[in-house]
Amino acid sequence: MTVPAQQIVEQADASLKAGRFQELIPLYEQLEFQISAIEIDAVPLNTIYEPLLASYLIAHDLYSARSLVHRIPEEYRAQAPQLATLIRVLELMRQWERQNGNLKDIYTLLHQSRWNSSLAPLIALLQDSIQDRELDLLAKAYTSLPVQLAASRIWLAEDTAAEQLVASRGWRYDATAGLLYPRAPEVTPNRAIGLQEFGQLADIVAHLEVKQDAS
Amino acid sequence: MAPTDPSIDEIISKIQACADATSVAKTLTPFLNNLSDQVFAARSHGQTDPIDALSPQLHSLAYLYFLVHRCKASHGFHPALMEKIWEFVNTCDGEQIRPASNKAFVFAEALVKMATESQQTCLLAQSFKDAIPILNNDISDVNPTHTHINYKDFLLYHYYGGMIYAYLKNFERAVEFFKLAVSAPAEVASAIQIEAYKKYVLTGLLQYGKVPILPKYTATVVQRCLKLQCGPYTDFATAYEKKSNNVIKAELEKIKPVLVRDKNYGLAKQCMEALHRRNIQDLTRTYLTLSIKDITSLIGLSSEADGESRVEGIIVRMIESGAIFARISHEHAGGMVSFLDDPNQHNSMSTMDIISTQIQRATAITASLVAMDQSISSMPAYLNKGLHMPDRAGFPMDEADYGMNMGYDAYADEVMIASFSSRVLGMLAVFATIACVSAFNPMSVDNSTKLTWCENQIGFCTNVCQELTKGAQCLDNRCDIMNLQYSCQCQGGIIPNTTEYTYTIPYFMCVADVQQCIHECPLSDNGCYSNCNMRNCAAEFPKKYNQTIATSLAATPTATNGPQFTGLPPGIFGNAANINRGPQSWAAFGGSSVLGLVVFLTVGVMFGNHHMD
Repeated sequence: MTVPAQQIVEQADASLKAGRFQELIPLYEQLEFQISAIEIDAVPLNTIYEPLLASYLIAHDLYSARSLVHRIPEEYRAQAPQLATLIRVLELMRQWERQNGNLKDIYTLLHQSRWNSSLAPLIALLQDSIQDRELDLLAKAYTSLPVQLAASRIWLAEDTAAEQLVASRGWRYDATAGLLYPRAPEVTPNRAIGLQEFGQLADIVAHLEVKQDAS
Repeated sequence: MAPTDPSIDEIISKIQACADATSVAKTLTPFLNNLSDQVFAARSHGQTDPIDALSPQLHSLAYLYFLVHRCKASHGFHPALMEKIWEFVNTCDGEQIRPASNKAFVFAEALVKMATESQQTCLLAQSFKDAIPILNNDISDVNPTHTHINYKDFLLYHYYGGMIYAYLKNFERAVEFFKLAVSAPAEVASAIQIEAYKKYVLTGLLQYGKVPILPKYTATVVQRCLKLQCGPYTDFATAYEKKSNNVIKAELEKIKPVLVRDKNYGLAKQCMEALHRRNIQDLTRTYLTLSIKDITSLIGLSSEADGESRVEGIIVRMIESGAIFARISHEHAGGMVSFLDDPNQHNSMSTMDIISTQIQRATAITASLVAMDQSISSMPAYLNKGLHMPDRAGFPMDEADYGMNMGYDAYADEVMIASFSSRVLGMLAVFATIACVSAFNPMSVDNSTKLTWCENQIGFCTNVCQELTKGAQCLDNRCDIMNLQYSCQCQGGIIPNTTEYTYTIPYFMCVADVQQCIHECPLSDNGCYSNCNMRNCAAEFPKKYNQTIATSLAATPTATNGPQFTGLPPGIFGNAANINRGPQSWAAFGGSSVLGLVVFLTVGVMFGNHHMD
């Protein structure tokens, strides 16, 4: 027998509390399928949509999030304020992607809304992930940037932003010019090449040389 | 239910009785195959659905049969049916299913039939992630009779697939899919193709900055239709390629109603943004550093309010996606962008992984291509067409060379070694008794060519004998690759006159000789050339059989000095019907100009098994 919905819900709850959102996504997807197709309304769909949407946002899978939103019937959206907030967050994130918009709005929204206990850990994760992603991008793209730009990306006031970044990420701060000098992110070391793979590479090169001589 | 069919209850009990795999395979499968469709639709005695009496795990095979029928009958989405399918797929017993693989196949494409509908559902339900693994497997083979998929399904599949890829911003694949839909062979243009073309134009502009040219094999009727129907789109494309912002914007406004009607406006808007990105990319070719202000004016956005920050945003996003490599510095007011080279030196394990996956894919595609070649070249329609190609001197040599150059080297080597070497060596002793005298030096020709010739000879002999003796098999039909000795003898001791026909060993040797002669001629010495060509193949090389073998039998071979090489006796070749006489028609060898090696490899293996054992 396929795993009954209740069991999956319990599994999901456990992962949620531990903050392991990666596991949540396949669980909730299967739940959504089962409940809408097979065991109609065994579990209220609301409780599935919200964590699933939040998980998609954390994983930065905006396409799936958007499709999910399209799938949600109208009545659910009206009923659940949390869901509405999340949808608004999604739209802001999409705008942010497209036009490098203002992250402050997202942060405000995330902080000022009330989240029930089940969603709260996910929301915290969401904010951290957004912040980290943006700061990594800034480090990659900029050799020097004005403090205001950096501050707009993180959830901190402008004056404290500089110290925070210097402390946590090792950036350099020039107070006179008001510039931050990000440190380029570490390059992950390559895994070592094995002897067999090296042999494969040699075979390929030899084969290509033969072909070249022949042609 | 037909009167001879057993009742449902009996069927159920019989199914339940066969519990283990062997009995299932032996008794149940033929039994179920013989039942008519109606049986599966019927209900059992107690009006319960018979499918409930079976457990998917224990009685997987029978369950499968029932499910197939239900799937075919249902036209929509039934939760109960979905549940059963889900359960079945999760818990079925593989061992039982294996013998009924064709039935499982039917099940799969009953699901696929629901799948084009489900693709639509997918699009509507917008759960694209799940469709992607299916879409990533290219379709290379559609068997309509087997799978009941029709032309419209093919078009729809690629149309929806392209839309899904476009939604996920994988525009390269989207263009591929739309191109496949548009260039599918057609006698009448389909509305699906027209819609696909509109999206093809837009995604092409997005990905490549211009509309890629449709392949040459697109049906002309489709092309004409497209010109008529998709005028606005082609206008937009021409304006886009000029890269002037204002012109493009004006054009976009002009065709906006058309776009909105076709629901392509979103794609067109993305085209505009892609234009900016493409312009910035062009700048990287010319400049090392630019200020953001200059970039804004260069790409034509200086007239917009907030243009500079927008440009900065675009650049940052491009850096993130890897479209350009650059770093922005704000040490100077307004920001400077320095463009860098690609820091990837391709010396890492990730490159190695990419190489291995690509090689595997290439090998897989080559293998399936070879298989496709073989199947096509043994089709009667192809042989028919190939036969009417003109005979040219040097023709058989070319096909062998071409075969080698197609990269079948490894393939040819393998087959030759595997199926012929041992047999050929064994035959040498036997062939010592056959005194086919040859003035031609067999060692001057390479093995694969001789292989070609031998297969031609053998095939010729089969066909001629069948013709001369009204369908009887040959008594003796052999050919030695090493020294090009051959023997061909039909039932009743009839020995065909090989010099009267083409594609026999004498003919090939003569042709090769002519070629050699031409090769030795000094350049542009027309006299020498015509001298060589004067030799009429088959007339100049009388290859006589050992008369002792011939005279010991009733028939005598005819003299061969006289007859001109007039080509082919009507009995064999003039009549198209004879050519279709099975895959062993030796017209295969004569006709196929480009796939000769592959063709007779196939047939050769068959012959090898038949004659040389």
